[in-house]
Amino acid sequence: MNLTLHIAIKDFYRLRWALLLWVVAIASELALASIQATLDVEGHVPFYMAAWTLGNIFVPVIGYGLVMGLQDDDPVTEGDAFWMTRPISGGRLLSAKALVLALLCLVPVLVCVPFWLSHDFGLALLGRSSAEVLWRQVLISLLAVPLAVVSSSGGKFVTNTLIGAVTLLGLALLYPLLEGSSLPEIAAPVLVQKGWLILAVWLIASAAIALNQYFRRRTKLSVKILVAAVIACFAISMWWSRSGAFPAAPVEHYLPAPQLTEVAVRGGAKVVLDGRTLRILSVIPDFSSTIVIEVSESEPDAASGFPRSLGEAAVATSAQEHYLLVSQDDGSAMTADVARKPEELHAGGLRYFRTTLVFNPSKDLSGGVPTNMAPWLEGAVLVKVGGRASGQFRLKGLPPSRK
Amino acid sequence: MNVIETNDLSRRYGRTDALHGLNLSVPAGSIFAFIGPNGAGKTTTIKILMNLLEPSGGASRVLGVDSRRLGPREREKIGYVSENQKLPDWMTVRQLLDYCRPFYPTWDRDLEAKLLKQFELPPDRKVRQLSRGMMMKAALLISLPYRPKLLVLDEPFSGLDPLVRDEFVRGMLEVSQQSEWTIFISSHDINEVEQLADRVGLIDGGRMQFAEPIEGLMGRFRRVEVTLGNAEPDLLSPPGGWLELERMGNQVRFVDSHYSPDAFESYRSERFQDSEAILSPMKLRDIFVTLAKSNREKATSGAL
Amino acid sequence: MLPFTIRLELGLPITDQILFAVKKAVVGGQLRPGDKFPSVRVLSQELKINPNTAHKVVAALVAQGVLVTTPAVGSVVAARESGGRAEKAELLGAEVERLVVEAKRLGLDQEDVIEAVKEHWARFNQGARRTIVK
Repeated sequence: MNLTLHIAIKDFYRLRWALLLWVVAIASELALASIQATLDVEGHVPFYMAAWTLGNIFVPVIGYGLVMGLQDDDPVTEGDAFWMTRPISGGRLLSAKALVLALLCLVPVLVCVPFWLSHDFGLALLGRSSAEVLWRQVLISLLAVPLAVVSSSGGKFVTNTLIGAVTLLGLALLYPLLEGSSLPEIAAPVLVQKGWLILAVWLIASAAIALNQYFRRRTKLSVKILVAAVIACFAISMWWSRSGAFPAAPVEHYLPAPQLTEVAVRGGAKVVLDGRTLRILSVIPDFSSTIVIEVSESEPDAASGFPRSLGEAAVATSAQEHYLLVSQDDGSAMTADVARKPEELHAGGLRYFRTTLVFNPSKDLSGGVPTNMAPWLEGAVLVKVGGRASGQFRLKGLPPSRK
Repeated sequence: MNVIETNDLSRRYGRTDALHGLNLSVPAGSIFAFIGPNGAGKTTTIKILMNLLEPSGGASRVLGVDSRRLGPREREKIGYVSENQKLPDWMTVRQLLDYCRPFYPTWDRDLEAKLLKQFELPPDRKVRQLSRGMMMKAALLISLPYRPKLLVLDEPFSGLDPLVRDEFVRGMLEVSQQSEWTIFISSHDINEVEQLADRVGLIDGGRMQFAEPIEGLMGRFRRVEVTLGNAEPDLLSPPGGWLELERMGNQVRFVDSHYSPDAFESYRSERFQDSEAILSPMKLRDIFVTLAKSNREKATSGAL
Repeated sequence: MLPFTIRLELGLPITDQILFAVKKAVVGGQLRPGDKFPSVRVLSQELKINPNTAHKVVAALVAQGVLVTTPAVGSVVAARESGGRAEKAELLGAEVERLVVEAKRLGLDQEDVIEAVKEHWARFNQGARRTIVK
């Protein structure tokens, strides 16, 4: 049998319990999120919290730990580790570990695929979702690899991770100090560019460190490269061009308007697609500024002549000058029609739908709230199934005057 | 052909020389005992030979290859057992064997089975649950079935009870019968190696003090006890080979490290007239202690 | 188990010790002509000595006529005239030398030694069990 495979199998066998735990955590997160999405606004919170904890703490941490688990049976720092005195070359060992690492990154994808399939994900969607999930573990691995290969044992790895975390914290604190003020806004395209650059630097440094350790075992040199990489990444994030060389993504105009004000939806609303119903649930237990909207299809129903309702949704909006808060306290509700057919945007792990809602207050509202809202409030709601909703509500036409 | 050869090998840690100008040759087919006090450089030498450590200067060759280029091809013919090396402790003995086997083209499964039985190792017990003695036997077990051309043992006996040491040696000798190989063993347990070694090398202060066939070494060391008669002995300018010279009343005692019957007779008649002398052979361990002491004295007194 | 008594001591050449022990066994009757002698391999394993040394010992024993190699069986004790008293006494040589050295260390003279030997001999003959302390 191929010797590289032989080593890889040994490692998989050794990690089998941790792998099982990981798979259980990933599957549990999906299961809990699914349950949570079917529950009403109040009951879903524990499930949401559990799913969130699993997905954002346990799964990444276990994924991180697995990288060290892979490394520490065959340390590549100085000494007389077992493999060093057997007929195993550094190159072969590196190949075996790289193979296992790659397969580890695939594990979360494999666990999620049945879940996605059961939600009728198409091939393209599967591809995109897989890419996102894969990417997450790749990033975690990328963080772990340089630390793992310079650590002589699991214990040292934990120590080094803590040192790394403290360093990051320190650098993060340093950041505003160097800037002299609070963190300024950075336009998204610039953020993306920096991100890729930092990723590239880290990737090159990790590769250099791994090659150095597996072939030469010069740990001191590796540590120097690591420190240099950290400094470089910090420097890039601090000082790389802020001028935003990349053009912003084109803004779609739904309707021509003399003045547009963008209003951000306070995040926290969770949206679930249930058959043909788009359900938006608010997570933030603050229902005073909730607009209940009804989401409907864009095509008018043949029978009624009105767009068919897709269901009810509640979206929380934040208080700003140019738009109105509609209170739910008086029992009033405002419905919104879907002006456009819900459009699938992309699925970064989950589905995104974009649609335009036209709000049509059906009742008079009281309590300092203007009544003549119809139909001037139009919004494009970007909802992510199973995730948070973000939306941009643009005012069509002039904003009404405040009372 | 020398299976191990070093030329002026040196290794520096900061400002200290762990090894300094080390010259060592181990001929094929021999059992070479590499002895020396703690910190003399034994483990450093072995690590350099096994390409686990880089030398600071000089050269070393193992199985005809520069030790810096020791790779899988050579390691297929080398067995290594060290008191410090950690085996994969999560594997069972059987799993350990299954893991190692494919790496060695010359692995003999019958020999493996025989040795497993001889060592009485429980195949389904995890390595971390093995006692120290069993762990060393396991380490030896995985280093023998492929009939290595060179077996390197770094302090294999430390912490082992006599029974285990016995079994350990039997296992080694079992393979010795079947093939021509060289054993390089560094040990504090000098008594154990005395009966096994053909050649002995002493390292002290990072240098080889000597390396010679064991019979020769033990042949040239004698403990001498002279009971004086009426004549005063001549102890001025004693020969360089005399160590631990002491005079107590009518007794003179010393260790002659260059003994030969003729030399003895000549200095006996010149220096110890009218006396009775008793010559005793020395155990290797006692030779070692004597030499180590004398090296210390030379070092502190600034001589050499 | 070896067919002859031996206890290896450190400090003395192994070859000589084994040769001596074998000769003693032959002379004393423990090894009889025609008895199979252990192979090099068994010798090495049982005594935990270098196989090269074991090999040298067997070669020396063959050279000195103590053993004979037969093609099928291996080494076998040679048939020879039984040793005379002089030869047997010679085998005592090492022990006697030790006795003399110890006596000298204790400051005894030859007379004392002979007296001691006579006394111990008598006690032995009386059947008293004795453990010989080496």
